[in-house]
Amino acid sequence: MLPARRYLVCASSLAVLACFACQDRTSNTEEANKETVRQLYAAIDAQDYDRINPLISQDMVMTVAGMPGTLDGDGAIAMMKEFYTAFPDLTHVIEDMVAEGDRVVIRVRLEATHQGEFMGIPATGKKVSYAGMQILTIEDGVCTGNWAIDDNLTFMMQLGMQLVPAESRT
Amino acid sequence: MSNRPDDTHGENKQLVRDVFAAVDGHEFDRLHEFMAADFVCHMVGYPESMDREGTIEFIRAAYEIFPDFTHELQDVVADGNQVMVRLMNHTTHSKDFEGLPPTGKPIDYASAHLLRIENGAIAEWWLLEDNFGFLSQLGMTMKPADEGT
Repeated sequence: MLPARRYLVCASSLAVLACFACQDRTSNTEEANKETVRQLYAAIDAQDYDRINPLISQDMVMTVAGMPGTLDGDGAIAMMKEFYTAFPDLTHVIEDMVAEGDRVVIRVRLEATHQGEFMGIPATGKKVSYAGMQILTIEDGVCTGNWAIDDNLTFMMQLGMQLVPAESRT
Repeated sequence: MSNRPDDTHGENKQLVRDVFAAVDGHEFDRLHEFMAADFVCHMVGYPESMDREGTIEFIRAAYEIFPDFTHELQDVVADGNQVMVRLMNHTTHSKDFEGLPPTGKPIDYASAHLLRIENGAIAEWWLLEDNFGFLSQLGMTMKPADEGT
């Protein structure tokens, strides 16, 4: 009985150790993923593609709420470049961060000045400030997934658009 | 092992699932049970935040107009005392809404919620919706302000 009990005690302490190690690794990964996301947005706001490109997988799948289809890494970068041409001073202010496993959630405030044509609207010089939330999937320090939603209505109204009944509506 | 974050995360996720189930189940009279007394709701795009009673009244009024409204939870992420939910909202435009007569058409749009949970109750709720997607399905569109006015 004694050796068996000793074996059990030993096994259970090993299990506890393994549990701690596992939790440690998990939270370390989550902290590392949060840091990757901070670095990604710092690089994006600086429009530094030498830092952006290694952090975005070409196979990334990006989904924007309200837009049909998905974008890959190149598509996401192309959309980003277009947006920064119209809003060159765009800044992502990260107000909240939540991480679990390979996912990092951010709640952000986007602040920018409309300095170039966007969606057919010539530069207005207007300042925009609106909220967004994103879920990023980080694998081995690289972003492989991005789901994004932003306060599109506030954004468009701040650009001087107004909400009207569609003409097709009868 | 007094600190068991995995259990807290699981309980917090379950609380969030339960509150959406209660809302979709029209159990408005017991929604206060899920929310702390000093609960605050930030509806992104709205100038004012709402307290517990204001939020419950808002939900009740929304279900008067969209009685078949359902929240389809697509992603639930927990960290510390926070839970984020990505979801798809489903309803039908079956009643007059802000002067827009009903079309009977289905409406599906995405939203993101970030909740802070304290002592088993929701203390803070951030809500961000695809408002343009929602309103365009109701028959609205955006135009430059100098056109058509």
